[in-house]
Amino acid sequence: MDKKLDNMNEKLDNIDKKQMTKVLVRADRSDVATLSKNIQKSYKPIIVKEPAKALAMIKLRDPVKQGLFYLGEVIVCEAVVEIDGEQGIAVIMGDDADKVLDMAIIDAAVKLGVFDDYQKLKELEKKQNERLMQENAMTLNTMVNFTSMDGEAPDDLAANKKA
Amino acid sequence: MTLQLTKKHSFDTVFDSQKVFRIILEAVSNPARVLNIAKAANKLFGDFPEILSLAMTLLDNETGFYIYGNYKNVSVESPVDTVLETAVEQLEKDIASLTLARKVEATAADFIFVCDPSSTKEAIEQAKCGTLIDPHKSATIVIQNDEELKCNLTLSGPGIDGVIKVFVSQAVKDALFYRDAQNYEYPEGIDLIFISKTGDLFAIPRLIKVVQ
Amino acid sequence: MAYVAVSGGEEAIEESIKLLDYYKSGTVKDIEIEAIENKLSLLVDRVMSEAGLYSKTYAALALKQCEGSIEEAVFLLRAYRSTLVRNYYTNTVNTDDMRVVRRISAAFKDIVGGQILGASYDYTHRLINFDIDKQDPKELQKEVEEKLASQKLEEILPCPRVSSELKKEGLIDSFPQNDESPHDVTVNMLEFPAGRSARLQTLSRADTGFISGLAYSSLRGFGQVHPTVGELRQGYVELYVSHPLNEDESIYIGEIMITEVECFNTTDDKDQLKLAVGYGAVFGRNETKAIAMSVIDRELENGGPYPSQNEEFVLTHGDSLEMNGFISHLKLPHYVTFQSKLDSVRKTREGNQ
Repeated sequence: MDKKLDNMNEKLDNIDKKQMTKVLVRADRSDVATLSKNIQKSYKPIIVKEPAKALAMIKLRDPVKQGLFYLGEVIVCEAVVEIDGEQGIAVIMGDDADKVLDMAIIDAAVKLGVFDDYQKLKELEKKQNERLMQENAMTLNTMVNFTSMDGEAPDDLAANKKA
Repeated sequence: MTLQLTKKHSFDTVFDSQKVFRIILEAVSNPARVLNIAKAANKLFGDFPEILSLAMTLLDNETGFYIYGNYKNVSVESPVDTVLETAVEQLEKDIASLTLARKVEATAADFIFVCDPSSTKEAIEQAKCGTLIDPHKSATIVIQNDEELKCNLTLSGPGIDGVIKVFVSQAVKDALFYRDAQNYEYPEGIDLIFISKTGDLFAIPRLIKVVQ
Repeated sequence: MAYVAVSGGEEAIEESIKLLDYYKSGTVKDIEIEAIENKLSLLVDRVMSEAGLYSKTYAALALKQCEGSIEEAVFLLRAYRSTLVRNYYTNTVNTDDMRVVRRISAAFKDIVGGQILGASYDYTHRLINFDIDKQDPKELQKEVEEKLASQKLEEILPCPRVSSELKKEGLIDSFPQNDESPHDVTVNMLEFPAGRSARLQTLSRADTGFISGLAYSSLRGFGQVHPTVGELRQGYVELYVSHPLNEDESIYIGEIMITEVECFNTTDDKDQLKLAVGYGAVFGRNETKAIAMSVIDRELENGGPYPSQNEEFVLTHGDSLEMNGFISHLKLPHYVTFQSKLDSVRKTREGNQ
C-alpha cells in the first residue's frame, strides 16, 4: 500500500486530475478504451452507477458587473465504478456511454494507485496541444495588419499591436 | 463494454425509485399504515439497504443529509489504513456517490437518517422545521426501528378517520413525544418515517398528534 | 372559459402525423445528423441557444426530425431536457480564459491582442454560389487538414479585455466580485423587478428575432442607447465540475463555443463622466444575438418608456417555446368561446334593428 502511494504521488506530480481529465475527454474513444482495457487485465471493475445522461448547469461570470449568471445547460454523461473498494467517477460532455465508463475505470485505478500509463497521457496531451496550436495559427492568420493610407497610423489605446 | 462488467446493484434509478416513492406516498397519506419496501431494498447492497433505497428515491444533488449513527472515533495514534470504517460511514459514502447528495450539518439537513435510536432526541431537537412562509424547507427524519412492540398509542390528524389505535415500540413512542415537546408553530414541523431491517415502513407526518 | 371534452379526432391525428412523411418524401437524398451538425452549424447554434441546451448532436437531430423548424426543434430539446437530472453545476466560467477564434472591436483600432477576424460571413460579398453542389466534401476536409498540418505552432494566449484599459483610466466602472447565488429562471418563476442574473439568463436563451428586433428599435430611436461594440469575442471556454467524491478536485468535462459582447455607451444623464457597458453572451456563433443582448441589457439598466426599456415586456415575451406555444395554441378549438362572442354580436345586431 505504501509503495503504491509513493508511486502515485510521484507520477501525479506531473499530471493532476484537471489535466488528466482534459486529455482523456479530448482523446479519441479508442485511445481511452485501450487505457481502460489495460487496467481491466489485472482488475475487475464493478459498475456502481451505469452510464447515464444528465445535465450540468453552466455558471458564467458577467465581466461588466462581476456577478454570476446561468448561461444554460449542457448534456453530460456520468458513470461510477468500483475497483477493490475504491470508487471512480467520470463526467463528460456528450452521450458517449462507453467512453465515460472507461474514464470512470481509469479514475478508480488512479485512486487505487495502480494507473501507470502516464507516459501515454503525456503523448496524447502533446498531440492535442499541437493540434490546438495549429488551429490557433490559422486563426491568427486572420489578424488585421493595419497600414494607414496616408502616413503613420495614430495610436488609440496604449497599444502593443501584437502581444 | 457495459455487458462484461458486473453491476453492484440492480436497483433501477427510474422504475424502482418510482415504486418506492409510491409506497412512501401511500404511507404519508395514510399515517401509521405499515407498508413494505423489501423488494426494492433487496436490490441494493451494504448494511442498510432499506435506508439506501429511501435515499435513492428521495435525495439528489440539491439536497443535504445527515446520519446519526456509529462513527468510528479516530485516535491520533492509529495509522489511517488499519482503522476500518464503520458501516455508517460506508452508508454515508454510498449515499453521496449514488445520489450526489451532500453531507451537511444536522441543523441544515433536508433528510436525517437515524441509525441509532438513542440519537432520536438529539436528531429531533436539531432538525430544521421550516418557516411560516416556507414550511416545506423542513427536515424529514428517517428512523431505523427494530425494537419489540409494546406500547399502545392513539393517534389522530389528517389522513386518519377520527382516531386510530396503534401498537408500537418504545422508540416510536419516544420519537413522537420528543416531537410534540418541540411545540412547532403550524405549519412548521418535521415529518417522521420509521423503517425496519425487514423493510417495514410507516410514516407519521407533522400534524399527527398523540391523543391522550 | 369552459372546457368541453369531445372525441373523434384520433384517426385524423394518426393520419396527420403519418402525412408528415409526405413532406419529407420528395427526394431519395437524405441529410445525416452529422451533416447537419457540421454543415449547418450556425442553425444548430441558434437552436441550442434558444433551447438553453448545449448539445450539437441533439440539436441537429431535432432539426432533422422536424424538417428544420427552429421552434419545433427547440420544443423537442426542451422536452428532452426535462427528463434529465441536473446533477452538476460547473465551476464559474470566466471568459478572460477564452480560447479565442474571433475577436474584434469597433471602438478602437489598435487593441492588445489585435483585431482577429476569425471566420465570418461579414466580409463575404454575398454573391449566391450556384456551383455549391459541385463542392466535394472529402476534398474539403482533406484540404483543411493539409492546411492545418502545414501551420507553424502558435502558442495560445488569452486576449486581455478592451474594457480593462478603460477601467484602468476610470472611464468604465469597476465592480468587486459578486458571488451571490444566481437566480435560475428554469427553477424559480421570474419576478419583477428582476435581478441581473435572471435578466442575463432570460436574454441569453430568448428568441433571436425578438431580441434583435427590440435592439434594432432601440438603435433607431425607440430607446436611449447609442452603442459601440467595444469588444466581440468568440471562442471556446472550458467547463469543470467538482469531483463528486472529492470536492477539492475539479474535473474537466468539455468545452463550449460562446460569443460574448461588451458594448460601450455614453450616458445622457449626470454621469457624463463615464461610459456604461452592456453585456451579451450566448451559445455558439450567434453574433447578432449577442450584440442585441448587450444593447437590451443597457436599455433595461436605464429603464424608460420604450418597449426595449420595459423589463416585464422584454423578459416575459422573449422565450421561444412560450411565444410560439401561445401563438400556436390559438389553433386549438375555441368553439365555445367563439360561440359566445358570436352570440353577443348577434344580440347587439338584433337590438339595433
